[in-house]
Amino acid sequence: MQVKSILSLFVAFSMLVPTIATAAEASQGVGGLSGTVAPKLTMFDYTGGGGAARAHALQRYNYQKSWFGNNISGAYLDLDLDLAYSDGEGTSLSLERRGDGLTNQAGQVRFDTDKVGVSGYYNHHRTVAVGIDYITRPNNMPGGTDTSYTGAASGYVARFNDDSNGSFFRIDRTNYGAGAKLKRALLGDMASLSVNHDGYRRVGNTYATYVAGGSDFGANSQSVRWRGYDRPLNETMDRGSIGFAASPMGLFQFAYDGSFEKFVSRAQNYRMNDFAGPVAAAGFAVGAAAKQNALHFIPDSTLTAHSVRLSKTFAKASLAAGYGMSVLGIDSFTGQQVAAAYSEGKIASRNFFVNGKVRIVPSVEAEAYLKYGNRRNDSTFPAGTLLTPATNEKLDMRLNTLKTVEYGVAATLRPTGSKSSLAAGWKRLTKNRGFTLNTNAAGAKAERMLYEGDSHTNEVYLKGTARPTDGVTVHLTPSYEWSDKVGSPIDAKQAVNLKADAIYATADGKLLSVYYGYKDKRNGALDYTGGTTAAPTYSVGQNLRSILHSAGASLSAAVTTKVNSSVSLDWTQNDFQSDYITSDIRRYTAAAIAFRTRERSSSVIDTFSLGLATDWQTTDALKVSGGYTLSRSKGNVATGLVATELGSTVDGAVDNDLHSLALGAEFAFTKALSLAGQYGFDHYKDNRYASLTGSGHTVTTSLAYRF
Amino acid sequence: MTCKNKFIIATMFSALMSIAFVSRTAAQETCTSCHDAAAASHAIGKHGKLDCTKCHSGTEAHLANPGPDTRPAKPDAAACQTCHMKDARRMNWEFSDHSKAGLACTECHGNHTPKAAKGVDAAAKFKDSSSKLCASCHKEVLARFSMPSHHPVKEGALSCVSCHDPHAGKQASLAGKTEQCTKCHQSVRGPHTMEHPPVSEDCTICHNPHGSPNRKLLQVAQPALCLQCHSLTDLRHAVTGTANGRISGAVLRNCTACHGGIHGSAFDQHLRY
Repeated sequence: MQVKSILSLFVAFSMLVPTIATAAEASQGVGGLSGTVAPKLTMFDYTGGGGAARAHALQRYNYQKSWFGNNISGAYLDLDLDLAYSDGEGTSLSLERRGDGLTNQAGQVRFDTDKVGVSGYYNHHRTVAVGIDYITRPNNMPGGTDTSYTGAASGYVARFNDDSNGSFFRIDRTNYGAGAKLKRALLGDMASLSVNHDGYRRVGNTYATYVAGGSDFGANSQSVRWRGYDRPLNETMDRGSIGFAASPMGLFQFAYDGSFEKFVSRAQNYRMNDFAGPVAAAGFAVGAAAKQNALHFIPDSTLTAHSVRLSKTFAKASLAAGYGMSVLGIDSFTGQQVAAAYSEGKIASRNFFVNGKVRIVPSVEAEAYLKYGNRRNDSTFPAGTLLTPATNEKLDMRLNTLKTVEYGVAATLRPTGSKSSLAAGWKRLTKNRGFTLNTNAAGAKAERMLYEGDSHTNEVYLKGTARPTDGVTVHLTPSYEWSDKVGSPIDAKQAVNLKADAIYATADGKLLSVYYGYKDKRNGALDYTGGTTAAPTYSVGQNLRSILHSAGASLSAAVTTKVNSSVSLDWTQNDFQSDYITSDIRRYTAAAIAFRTRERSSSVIDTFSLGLATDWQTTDALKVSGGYTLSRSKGNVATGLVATELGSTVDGAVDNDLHSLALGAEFAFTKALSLAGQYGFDHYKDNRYASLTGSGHTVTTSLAYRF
Repeated sequence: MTCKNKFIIATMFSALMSIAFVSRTAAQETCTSCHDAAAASHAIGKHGKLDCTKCHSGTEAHLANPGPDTRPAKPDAAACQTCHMKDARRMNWEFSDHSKAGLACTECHGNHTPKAAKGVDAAAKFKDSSSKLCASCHKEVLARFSMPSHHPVKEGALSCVSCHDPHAGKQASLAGKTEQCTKCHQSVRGPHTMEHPPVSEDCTICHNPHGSPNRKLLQVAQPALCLQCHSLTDLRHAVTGTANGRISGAVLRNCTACHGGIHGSAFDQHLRY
C-alpha cells in the first residue's frame, strides 16, 4: 500500500476517534448495540423440472447453487445479519444482510444522526427464465415447426434453426448504491441535500431469435431464415443523482432533483454474417447487403434528468406543482446507422403537473389537477436509405411526438368527526400522437393500421370509504370510462370498473378481508379499410372486449393464545375476446388489399391461489409452524380456428399448478440463542409443457444469536 | 481513483461523521417516568430525541389526570407532517392515493420502532418488510405475485417500493409508466431507429408488471395480444403463402419467435431483429 493511502486512512481514522468515543459513552446509556446473527445451512435437491443443468422450472426466479457448483442438488452456507447500534440520542447505525446463497442475497447499511445520513445497499439475484424459453424453442416443441412447411416456396419461414452453442441461460443482476444526506438540522432547519449513486451490473446469457429477410440468404431460403442463437449480456448502469429540498422561511416546500445516468452494453453485438457458417452448411449464403445487419443491437445510452417541485399548504388549502425534463440519447451506433448518417438517437421529455385542493366547508374538500407530458423524438430523420418515408419498408410510422394531457376535478365529503368519506370525480385523458407515415405509393398506409392520432378518454368515478364501526373498513370504487375519440385498440371505447374491499380487524388481532374487482372494457371503434387508398372498398372492424374478475378473501386470527393461523383464497379470471383478422397481401403494396375476419377468438384463463399457514408456540421454548400454498392457472389461449392450430403445439392452453409446503420449528435455548429448521417441498406440474414438471426439496437450518 | 481523491473523500467523510455527533437535546422525561416500554422503544428509534408532545396531542389532560380515559391521541398524518412535510419525498403526500384514502402515517410506519405487518397470510412471504406491509392491504396485487410469471418480489430481487412511491400519487408524478420501467430495464429503452409505438407509449399495454399466467408478464397470451392491433398477412404467414391459406400453430404460437425485436430495432422495420 502506498504511503499516501496509509496516510489517508490514518487521518480518516483519527478524525473518527472522537466520534467512536462519543458513541461508546452513549452506548452505556439507554442505547447500545442490538441485533441478530444467524448463520444457516441450506440443502436442496430437485428432480425433473426442465433441462436439468440448464434451467429448472422451480428455479426460474429462485435459483440455488451448491458450494460444489451444482444447481440440482447440494448445500451451501450463508449468514443473515441484522445489527443496530444506537447511542440513545438519535444516532444510529444499522447493518442488514439477507443471504440465500451465492445467487440470491441482499444487504444494506445505514448510518443516521439528526444531521447526516449515509447509506449503502446491494442486491444480487439470478433468474433462469430464458432457459425455460430455450427449452420451449420451436424446434423442440411438438408443432413448433409445422411439417407442412416443406421448404422451398412454402410460406415465408419453413423451419426453425438453432445455432445455440450450449450456453447456460441465466441472468445475474447485481444492484448497488450509496448515498449521503445532509439533513435540515445541519442546514439551519431550512434545507437538505442528498447525493446518491445507484447502479447495476447485468450479465449472463439469453436466447434470441430472428427471421432474415426474403433476399438475405438468397432465393428459396425459407428453411434457413428462422434462427435462434446464444446472446450474451454484459450491461452496466450507473446513475449519479443529487437532491435538494428547502423550506425557505417555512413559506413553501421546494425540491430539486437532478440525475445523470449512463447505460453501457459490453456484450458482443451479433450480425447476420456471424451465422454465415451454418447458413452455408445448409446450402445458402448470407448476401452481401445482409452481412452487416445488426441482430438485436443494444445501444449504449445516456439519460439526464432535472425536475423541480413546489408545494404549499395553507390552513384550508394545498397546492403542488412540478416540472421535469429529461433527455435520452444513444452513444453507440451500428455500422449501418453510421453509413446512413444516423448520428443522433434522442428522446426529449417534458412533464409538468399542478394540483390544488381546498376545504370548502369543514366536511367538504374539492380538488383539481392538470398533468402534461410531451415525448419528442429528436433522432436523426430521415437517415439515408436506413430510415426514410420515401422508400417502402424503410418506415411504417414514426412517432415524432406523444403529448398527453390529463386533468380532472373531484369533491370529497368527509363528515366532521367521521372516518368515512365519499369522493366523486371526473377526469379526462387526451393523447395526441404526431407521426410521419410512409409516403411511397407502396408504403404502409394509415387505413391499413389500427393506430390513429388522437385518443380522448373520460372517466367518472366514486370513491367511498366507510368505517361504520371500530375495526371495519369498506372501500367501494365504481367508475365508468368512455372515449369520444379512440386512437388505438387498447383504448376503452367504454369500460365499467368496480373495486370493492372490506376489512375487519379486531383488537385481539383477528383480521378478515375480502375484495372484488371487475373491469369490462370494450372497443369496436377501429377499422381496417380494404381496397386502395384511392378506391377504398369496405371496412373490417376489430371488436375487442376484455373482462377481468378478481376476488379473494383472507382470514388471520389467533386461534388460541399460542396458535396463530391464516387462510387466504384468491381468484383471477381474464376473459379476452378479439377478432382474428387476416389480409390477403401485405400492407406494403399499392395494390388493393382485402381484409377478412376469420373468426372471433377468446382467451379465458383462471388463476386460483390458496394459502394456509399456522404457527404454534407449543412451549416457551418451542415454536412450530406450517404452511401450504397452491397456485393454479388454467385456461385456453384461444378458441376456434386459432385454438385448433395451436392445439398441434403446447401453447393452446395454460394448465399448471404449483404446490408449496413448508414445515418449520424453532427452539429457543435461551432468550439469546435459538435453533430453527425448515423443510420446504415444492412441486410444479405443467400439463402443457410436461418437461417442466418437477419437484424440489429444501432444508434450511439456522442458528440465531440475539443480543 | 487516485490516492489524492481517496484522501479527500476520506477526510470529508470523517468530517461529516464528526459533525454528526455534536449537540443533542434532552428528551422529555415526564412521560417516560410511567411509560417504560415507550421510553425503551423511543431510545432506539429515529424519534428518540423528540418531545412526546411533539406528536401526541392532548397530553395536558392526561398529565393532569393520568389514566386510559385521558389517553393522548395517536398522531395523525397532520402531526407527522409538521416535520415530514419538508421532506422532498413526502411534500406531495396531500395528493397521494394513500392520503385520499384517509390513511394515517401510523398505518404503515411505527413511530417508535419499525412496524411489523399484521394479518399477512402464507402467500405473502416476501423477503423484505416493506412489501409485507403493502401486501397486508393490497391483496389483489399480492395474488398476482403467485402467478407463474411475476416480478421476483417474493424472491427478494426487488420490493414494492422499488417501483411505487407510497407518499405520492400519479397526479403528482413527473415520470410516465415507460420511464418508470426503464429505470431498471434500460436495454429496451433505445431510443431505437425503428420503434414499436406501444413500447414508446406505455409498457403496461402489453405487460402486467405484478404477475400474469402468461409468459413474460404478458397481459394476454400470444397471439391474441398481438392480433388485437395487427392483422396477419396470408402472403407471409400462411403455410402456402396464398390468400386465405392456412396459418399454422407454428406461426401463431409465439409471434415474437420471429419478431424478436419487439421493443425496437436498429435496422428492421418489421422488428424481426
